[in-house]
Amino acid sequence: MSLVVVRALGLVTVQDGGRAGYMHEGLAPGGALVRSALVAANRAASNDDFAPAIEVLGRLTVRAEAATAIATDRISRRMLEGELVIESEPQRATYLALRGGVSAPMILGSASTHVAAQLGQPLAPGQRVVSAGAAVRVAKAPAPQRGGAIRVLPGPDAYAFSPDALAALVSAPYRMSPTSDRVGTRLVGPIIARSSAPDRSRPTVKGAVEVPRDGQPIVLGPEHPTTGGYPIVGVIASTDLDRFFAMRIGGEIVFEVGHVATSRARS
Amino acid sequence: MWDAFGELCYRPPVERLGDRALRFARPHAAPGRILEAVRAWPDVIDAVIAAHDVAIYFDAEPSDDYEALIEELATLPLDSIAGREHEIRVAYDGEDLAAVATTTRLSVAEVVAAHHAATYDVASIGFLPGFAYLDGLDPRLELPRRETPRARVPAGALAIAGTQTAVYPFASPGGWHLIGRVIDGSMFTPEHGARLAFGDRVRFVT
Repeated sequence: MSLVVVRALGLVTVQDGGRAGYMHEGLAPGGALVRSALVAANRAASNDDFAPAIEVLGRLTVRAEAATAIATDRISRRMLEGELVIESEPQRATYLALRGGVSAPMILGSASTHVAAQLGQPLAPGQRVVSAGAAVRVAKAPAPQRGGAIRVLPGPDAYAFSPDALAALVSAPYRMSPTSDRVGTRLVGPIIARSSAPDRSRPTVKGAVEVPRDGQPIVLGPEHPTTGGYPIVGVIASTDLDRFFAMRIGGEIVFEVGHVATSRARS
Repeated sequence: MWDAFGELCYRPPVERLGDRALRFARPHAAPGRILEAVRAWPDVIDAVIAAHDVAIYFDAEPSDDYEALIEELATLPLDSIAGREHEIRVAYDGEDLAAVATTTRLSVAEVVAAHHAATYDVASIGFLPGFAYLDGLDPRLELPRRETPRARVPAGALAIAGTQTAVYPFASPGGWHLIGRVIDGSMFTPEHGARLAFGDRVRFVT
């Protein structure tokens, strides 16, 4: 079972659940941008939930070198030898799983490509993608996620904002800028007013809504720096991260203010 | 709590950084000891020790029980756990070396000698994978960051800013003064992760 990359537009990488445990060395865990979509593709391919698969942020064209069992989060099928498949979806990230998992070197405990740390490399034309041949298992498709607004838990850096900063964040929809990547998702919308407090380099977390001087928020992604100078107005509830990162570039995002207790109760 | 000048100083409480992390003021203890302590706590998967703050990361929503544990961190020893001794080979040929000499009113040779003579400690790690902020810079070399950061500092650049020195592990934007470059390998590798860890002592040799 193997595929050859014919074309890769945007960022196409191998991703799994990421490598936790290296934040203290300056390395964020990385891993799939939309974890539930990776799980769905792997379950459709009868793989372990976090088996390595191909994350497509853009468009990927592959050709089967031999009959190959593939799956995305929506379909599971067998590619015939020589067949071409183009993977490009209205959603921001899609995952192409191979039955048995994608074979990729394990680096510091994960097969995930981490661009900033130069761990692994994006897929390029001519590259072969081979099944790792891991044992097949059967699991139910994951439950669909709820819709609606993305909950933001108020951030710890209130000192750096005017009192109505959170109100501004939830006042109108934001658009996802095409300059977004796995490090950060840039948003265009209502300006978040900052106080004159200086930037201080402090620990960050995936889902943190950072606000640079121009007031246009950046949501930190899986390859975020472990410390950052921009104050954090809020952090997306962990149960809403996948819905946020699944939104397509150019799409609209509506935030609402959440609370830690309710994020646990609803998950 | 009273600080060294007898003034009441406010220690911010433990703050929630979303629903999977806590942030608090960095306790006055060796960073390696803090890291070792917090990583042994239940449900903690990792920690970031920054200049003035610590964040700890969980695989579940943290309870309020951690506040007492965090308070106890201040009782950890100040002296660090013995780490490794590094001699990192560098060439002192950075783009800003002449400007640093001018601003500090030293000769280039004196800047190099001052930087080369010191032994450095890992104060914090962050910004980029393997970027270690090193304490121990000769006070004569203290300078504010560049007014205009560079759009691209090359990987391996040896730099100074404020009271610290550091090596850029990867090419990135940066506002530090470049005084040289590392010539004996990377600061972050797929095999070993970060070259420097808390408790390590670092000397730069030519």
